[in-house]
Amino acid sequence: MTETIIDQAIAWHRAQDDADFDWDGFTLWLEADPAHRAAFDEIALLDARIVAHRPALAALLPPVEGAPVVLLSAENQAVPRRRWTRWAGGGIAAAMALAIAIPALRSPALPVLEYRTGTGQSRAIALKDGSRIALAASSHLRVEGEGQDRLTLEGSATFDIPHRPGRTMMIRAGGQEISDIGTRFDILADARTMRIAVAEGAVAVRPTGKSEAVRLSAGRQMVIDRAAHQGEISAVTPNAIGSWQQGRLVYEGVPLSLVASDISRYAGTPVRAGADVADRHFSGVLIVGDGSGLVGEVAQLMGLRTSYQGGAVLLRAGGTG
Amino acid sequence: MEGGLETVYHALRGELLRFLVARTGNAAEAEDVLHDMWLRIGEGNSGPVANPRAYLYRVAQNLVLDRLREKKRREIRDRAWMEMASGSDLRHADPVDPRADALEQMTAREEVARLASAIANLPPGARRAFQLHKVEGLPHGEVAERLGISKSGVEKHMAVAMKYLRRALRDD
Repeated sequence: MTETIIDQAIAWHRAQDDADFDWDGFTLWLEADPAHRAAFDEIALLDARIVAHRPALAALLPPVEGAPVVLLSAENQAVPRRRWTRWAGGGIAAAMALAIAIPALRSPALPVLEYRTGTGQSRAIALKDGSRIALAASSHLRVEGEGQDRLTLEGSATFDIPHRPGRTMMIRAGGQEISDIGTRFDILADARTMRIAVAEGAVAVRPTGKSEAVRLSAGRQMVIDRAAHQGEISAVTPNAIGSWQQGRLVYEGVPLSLVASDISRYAGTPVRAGADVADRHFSGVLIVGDGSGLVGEVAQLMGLRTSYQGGAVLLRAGGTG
Repeated sequence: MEGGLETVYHALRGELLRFLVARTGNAAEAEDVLHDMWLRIGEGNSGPVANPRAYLYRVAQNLVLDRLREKKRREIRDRAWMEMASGSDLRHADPVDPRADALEQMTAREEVARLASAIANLPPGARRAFQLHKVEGLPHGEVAERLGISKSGVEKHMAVAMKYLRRALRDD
């Protein structure tokens, strides 16, 4: 089907609600070539699919007036880093790494619970205080303290923490400490980047070992570049937070490197973003399915090539050769 | 009012049939739709109609779309059922099994995620215009105001969006 016919079909379709729509002209156009009807059917069905799911789409899509949604394709490779704030002083990278490697103040008398998930697995965890945690695939959660209020996460999880007066939950992840007094939020962290998105309530986020914290409220996410000590706060759709539990991975302006490490959880093969594309930002929704289609979908959406290198799938800039 | 509409229907029967043959590509189906229109008018739910001719064309257009959607829905359901049935004991189950509901819900969830993904990945200008108009339901004029562009600019964005979406959502 030629582009011209599609353009014409789109134009007829758009105009059909006008009071003075040219029904005779439309009939003649349809009669001129059976391909016209096929094109119009296609456009009308496409439109109907979207209209049919309007409320669900409105809930899932990032609001138009939110932070810049950085999109794929060749025209978008330079990422506008708006609203970046100096997140922490230089020279603390080593301190952050240490804080992760050595959980502080662990008394041998206190019970420590460890939860691990493998590729494609997830796990629901209930704590004594009624907190619920959904641990995503290939992740690790450690629960410490008599009140089960000191948590350490590697990987990805969604937290649903009920409000308890006088109690603060402390979660370490991605070189940050997140303190929370009753909220629902999602954390995704790898060695480079950490994303925290808040669906309800608010949390305080601070780099491990620092005293300054940033408050993050519902409908906001913060993407932290650990090496650069920078965090970017932007708007997110609360309903989409934690939707990996329904088999959807939703990203809004997340570096490709973090997307790659996240889909590795489901793909069964490590996925890495090459240095040339690691900082590109990705926004979109991926369907997990059996995990095997994720890499291909990201590659297609962002116009990337895939290759195998050292047992991992490597995503690199597209083009020929 | 219905009386007026019936009169117009009879007067325009010939051109409506011609339109429906062109629109459906099938003379028998065109007659069916024309008959459905007659029943629809007989129900008399239309209220006052300012422009009966445009109204009748629009009814015809909508009935054809309803049929198309139903056909598509059946195809997708049958395909999903076949995919699910192969590789499980469901292949002996009857498609009116209660599990068919769960299957439809699952298909709907996947559909929403796929649409959202395609929309989120539109070029930025087209995405903003498309989302405000199609998803949030703002008229073109308000979309133009919100985005600080002309109405024809909105229309161009919408056309670009439709073309992108058509490519992204093909073969579903």
